[in-house]
Amino acid sequence: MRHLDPSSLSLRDLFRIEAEEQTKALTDALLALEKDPCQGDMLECCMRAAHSLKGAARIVGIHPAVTVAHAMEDLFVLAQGGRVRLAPAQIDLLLSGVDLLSALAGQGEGENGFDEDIWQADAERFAAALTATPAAAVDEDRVPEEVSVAGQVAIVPAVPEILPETPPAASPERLLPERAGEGDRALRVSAENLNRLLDMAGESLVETRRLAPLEQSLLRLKRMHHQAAAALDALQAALPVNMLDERAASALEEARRRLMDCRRQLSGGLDELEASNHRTTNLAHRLYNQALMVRMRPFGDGMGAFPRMVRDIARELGKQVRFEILGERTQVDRDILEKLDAPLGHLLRNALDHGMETPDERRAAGKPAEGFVRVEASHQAGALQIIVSDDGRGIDLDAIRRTITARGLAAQDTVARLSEAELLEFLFLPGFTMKSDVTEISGRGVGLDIVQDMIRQVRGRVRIISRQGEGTRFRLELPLTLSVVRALLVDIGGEPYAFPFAHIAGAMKVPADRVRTVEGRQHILIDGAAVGLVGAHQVLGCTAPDGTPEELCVVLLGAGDHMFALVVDGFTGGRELVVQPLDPRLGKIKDISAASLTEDGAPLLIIDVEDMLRSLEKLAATDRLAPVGREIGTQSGARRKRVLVVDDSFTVRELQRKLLDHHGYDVEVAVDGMDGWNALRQGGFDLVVSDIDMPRMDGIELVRRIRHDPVLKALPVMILSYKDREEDRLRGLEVGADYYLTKGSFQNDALIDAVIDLIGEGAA
Amino acid sequence: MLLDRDLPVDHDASPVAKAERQADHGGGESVMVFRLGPEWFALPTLVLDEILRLRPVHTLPHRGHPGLMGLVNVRGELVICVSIAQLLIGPMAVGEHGRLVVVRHDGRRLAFPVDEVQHLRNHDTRRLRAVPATLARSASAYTRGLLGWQGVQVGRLDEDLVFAAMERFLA
Repeated sequence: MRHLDPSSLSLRDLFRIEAEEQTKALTDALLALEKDPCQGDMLECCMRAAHSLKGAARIVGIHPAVTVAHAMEDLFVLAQGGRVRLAPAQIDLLLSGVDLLSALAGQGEGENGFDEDIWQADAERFAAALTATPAAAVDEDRVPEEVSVAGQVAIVPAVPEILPETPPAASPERLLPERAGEGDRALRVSAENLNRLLDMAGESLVETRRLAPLEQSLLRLKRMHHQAAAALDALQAALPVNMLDERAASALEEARRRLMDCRRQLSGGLDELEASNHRTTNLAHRLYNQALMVRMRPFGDGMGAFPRMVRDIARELGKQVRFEILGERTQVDRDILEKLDAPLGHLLRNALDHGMETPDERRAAGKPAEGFVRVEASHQAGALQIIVSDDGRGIDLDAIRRTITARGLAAQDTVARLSEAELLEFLFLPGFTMKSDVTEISGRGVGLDIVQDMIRQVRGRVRIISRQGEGTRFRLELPLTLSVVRALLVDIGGEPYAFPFAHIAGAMKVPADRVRTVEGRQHILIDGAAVGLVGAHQVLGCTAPDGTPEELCVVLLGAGDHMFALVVDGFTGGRELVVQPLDPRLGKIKDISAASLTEDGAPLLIIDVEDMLRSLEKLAATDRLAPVGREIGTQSGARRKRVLVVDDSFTVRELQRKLLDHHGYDVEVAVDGMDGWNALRQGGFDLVVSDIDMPRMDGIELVRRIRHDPVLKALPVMILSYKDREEDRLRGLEVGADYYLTKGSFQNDALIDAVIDLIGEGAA
Repeated sequence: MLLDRDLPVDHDASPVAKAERQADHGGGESVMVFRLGPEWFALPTLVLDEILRLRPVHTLPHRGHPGLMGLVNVRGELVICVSIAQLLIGPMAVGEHGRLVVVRHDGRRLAFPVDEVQHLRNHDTRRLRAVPATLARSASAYTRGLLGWQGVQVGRLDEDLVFAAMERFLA
């Protein structure tokens, strides 16, 4: 974790932070200069950045960095004076110098392996190269009178210092701004501090709600005062006039006056309380919203590395590309911005490598030699939209068709019928590539599936739009923030839970008499389709409420044939929740994604709908669905031995389940290693039978985890795999499996024999 | 009954800061003494973060460990709540006037309910008596020694062992 208290930072850290800022400024300005070498302000900017870096490096004593920055500064000064024009070759060299500075800054203090001599040699090589190139550059630029001096420019001694020698990194105030000037000043704040701020802002919101009951009780007191006054009046009226002597009358008057004082005082206090309650509530709301806003950063902040990357790749591929970033000021949640880096980089590499044609190809197609690649961010209908587009050759749908057929992913006639959108979906399949030669840039056949995966992790989605010959657009739709989610609050087993609206298909109340039972399974009809009913208690393993309600509260999850109606105890409304990640010490809790607080400050859990759908599929597949509204049947008699079968193939799972069940074992199934691991941690298993090749977590990793778990390490484990090579067998046994069988063992009794061998006979 | 109240958030006034100041004066050690049913235990005040009123704890599905109670709201932050009673004396419920103790060890927080909390300053660590070998209770494994306080025996717990054991409830 990065601590940003300036006093705790070492000089080295200060230099690292300074270098981060200045190298970015340098890169941006150099790329601008590449397009137009005569921009005075950009030269000025480069010169100042190099100068600052030189000063900073000198203070912390990183001599190689001083050498590099100094050589760069000299060249910029010459260029400013018009004595040198920066050619692309020099920009390349200068950019490599920026890389060198970044690398130097990244070297830890006193770290092993920092050999200053080696770095110094590199630095001097760089400086020498930089001094050597101007001759060529000036040649190119046809400024003959400068040629003679160009060879010696770097050693011209009397380069006037434009800035006074100020130590740029020494004062802590200089450290904090990420970028000086222009627009909003950005600060570095640790994520932990930020989250705590958000939590406390949420808490203050909860606290202000406590004032309302106090106000109510004071209002009651006011009414009681009123009644007391009325009682006093009644007393006076009841007394015969002649019985009221002067003393009694004045005592009564005194009582009435005092009561009146009380009422006035209370009234005034109440008004004040009301006003102050109103103000604090308002303030707490604003504080809370502002705290949420702090999580947002301008989109441009996350794009820093891309102009350079695009330029380098385009040069390497010999393509002419103009790169544009639009909507740099669009506010994006910092977590999302961070997670966008890899997928955007990937899409850009794809656009340059696959989409963009060479200048010759473009001219032949009647397009300008220079193409464009554009990244565009905007807010659309409460979501963040990012479009990565190019004007390249587009995606060849016929080529996709050929690849699909060639790889046997679908029959030829099916492929011919697929729509454009359906064809493009194939690009997101793992390992699907259309590029025949694997290049350094992209085309390893991994990529778009990873992009899609990463986008899904931040609850977004990707779509491709392509026009052959005109270009490709990737449209990414993402939530504005990950820290707030709109969710349906429900009650399950007396505790609050939340379902994110974006992940549920609907919610409704269903009269209990509309529940139908077919073949022992309960369902309700929704739009004419039967949707299976499942009790949320059963899925989450908590106690069901007593009695049978007349109306069932149902949350619809999933879609199509895989839709489930989850029965909860009640709906408590929809609300925006500030998401709090679960304490990492808890690990992944099955069916739960995160936590939050209800309006009155009680903890609630947010359901991981995708995870829960997997749980539901599993329950449905194993016929273990308990009827809703009745008690879940408890097992009676002697406990049967329980076996967990982990396999991603439905057929294999069911075969094993039947086989083992037939031999008197209780069988639970899991669809992959992760699922299996979650099941195991609930305990109560006598044996695990696992496949090796599975998504999310493979069998080897599962066995490894079991063997490293203090509770589970003695659990018998059997591997059942298609892999029958000796090395696979050894790998399985090495990691700690007790048996390694191949799937051929179904045909004979080998599997059952091994099970009996490990845990004994099942119940009769 | 000083610690039976909610503590101010003010950092300097926190018991941790106080304990640190007191530690400088040498001699004793500052401990927090808490009651579970009839039994008293002590932990160094240094691990204490906050003492709060009891509040709703949200259970965690699929986590059946009896020592893991769930999540609890501590000033807007969700903290894992465990049962220290489960560790020390076995299953028991804390009375409704109990307190929630929030402790911090190695930068990680945990909360647990107790029946009552008191603050004991400068008890002399040299006067710690050995735990009798006849005391075959689960708590003895986590107890460094016994200290006498207001006529009761208080088990001075080893904070490292107790934390390690409670964190094992979580997995």
